[in-house]
Amino acid sequence: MTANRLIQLLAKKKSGELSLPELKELRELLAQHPEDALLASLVDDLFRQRLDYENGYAVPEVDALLQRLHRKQTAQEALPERGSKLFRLNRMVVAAACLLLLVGAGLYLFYISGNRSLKQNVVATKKGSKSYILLPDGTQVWLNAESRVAYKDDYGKKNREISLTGEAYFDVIKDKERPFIIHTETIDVKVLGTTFNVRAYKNDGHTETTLIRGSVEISMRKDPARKFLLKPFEKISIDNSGALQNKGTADKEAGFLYALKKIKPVADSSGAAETQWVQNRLVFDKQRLDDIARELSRWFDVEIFITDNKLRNTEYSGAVEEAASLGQVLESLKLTGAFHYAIRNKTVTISP
Amino acid sequence: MTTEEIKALTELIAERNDHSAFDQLFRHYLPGLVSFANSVINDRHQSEEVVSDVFVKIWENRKTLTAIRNFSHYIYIATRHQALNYIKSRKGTGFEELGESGSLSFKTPEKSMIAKENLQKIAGAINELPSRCRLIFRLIKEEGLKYQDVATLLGLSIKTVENQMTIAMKRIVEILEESLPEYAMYYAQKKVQK
Repeated sequence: MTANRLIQLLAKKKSGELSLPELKELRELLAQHPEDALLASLVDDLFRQRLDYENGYAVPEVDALLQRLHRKQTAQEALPERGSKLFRLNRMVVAAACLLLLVGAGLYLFYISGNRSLKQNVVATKKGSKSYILLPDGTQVWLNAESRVAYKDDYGKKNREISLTGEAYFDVIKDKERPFIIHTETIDVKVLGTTFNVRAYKNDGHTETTLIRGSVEISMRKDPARKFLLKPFEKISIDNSGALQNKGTADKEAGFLYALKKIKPVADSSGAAETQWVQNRLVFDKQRLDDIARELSRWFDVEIFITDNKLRNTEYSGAVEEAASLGQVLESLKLTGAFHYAIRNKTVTISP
Repeated sequence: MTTEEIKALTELIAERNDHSAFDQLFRHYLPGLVSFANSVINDRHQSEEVVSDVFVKIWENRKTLTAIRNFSHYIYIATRHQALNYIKSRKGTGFEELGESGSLSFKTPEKSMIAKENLQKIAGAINELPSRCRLIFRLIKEEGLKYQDVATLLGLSIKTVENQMTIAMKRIVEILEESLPEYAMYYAQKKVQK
């Protein structure tokens, strides 16, 4: 009679769920009993054998089903996309309005109070629009929706400092003499020459920095001694409420303040999910619906209401290209979990 | 098919609109998904319709495929939704617990220490397991799902999934043990030959 613990460990092993201490335990158990070791190798053998259905599908049957599927697909593709034309028109109007605003914002120079009264350049985007900025030193900035970048007139002369709210993707020209510094409400990001993304929306709970190439150093505005160095394809996410508190309390809760994680590069592109917006793609990878809704609201310039608390915290995945309508995005998200939605003018209601 | 092969196929579909990759995926998933949907619908023909509707949607949303972490998990969840929607549209008739409706057998073994009749015995024992337990076993062994994935798919706790997998393993081990002396001899002879 084989011990229950051994069976439990074997089940875990064959499910790929064995932890390191459990692996050790299993090895010790097997070393003690040669019979069990034989049994374990039989289990390995058995798991190599593939299972099939007794009354499975014969090839012609599958072929017939495939033909039916292809007919369904053609029928589906022939359907006209209702509503999307109107939606695109709306987006064009929004884009035109944003362009006007952008030009206005770009031209709008104002004096800031301080020791040196230097002119400040501001570029801002509205909901539903994006922008591209070429800074005087050749550094490129892609500005996402509802975001703002400001830099002084002496940018590039002595220093390279800018301030950011919202989200931007940077490709920074190398200049060892003048490090490139981004100020957000919560953090400062210092770089030499690199490509990375900073996400610092005021209404998000976190400030995120994702590094693609090079290296960056992040320090907390309220506690400049607290520094983090990022390696390529790492993302640091800092809790805004914690980071904005006084130094003393922040120290106590340091464990909850930030999260550092590896991100996965997106196949066939040089970026990651975090930077897909630069290529006009929207990518969600197991994100809470609440966060997705906030992103969609910026992207499409709509208000989104979620009627159910549980739904708000449910995670969804999906990705869409630039031309996708809001309806298409919601349809693709629905594939990973059911919900209902209604789009009326600029208001979307999502319910279970 | 391995997870890597499936990933490669989904990438071909997402990035190159590859129809033959799509067909391959359909051939691979059809029997398992139909058996799964059938545990809810209890109508093989309708279950086939449900699965093909899922694939129509997969094709429509093919651009999203590269963002999916585990395609097997994803397509089983999509099938669960499609099947439950079908039941709802029928005003809730025929709902059963999510499980495995078909009987399983082992494909002709290529190279195995385990005798053919023992493989049959084990398949028989797996088929006698409750349908949910059998499904959990197949999803983990054949589709490579993790405990967590199975738990979210079936609305169970991870602990329950682990327990069910252990129950299946226990049955398998019991049958293997019956002929353990024979295998020990086989093993000893092999060692001598070496």
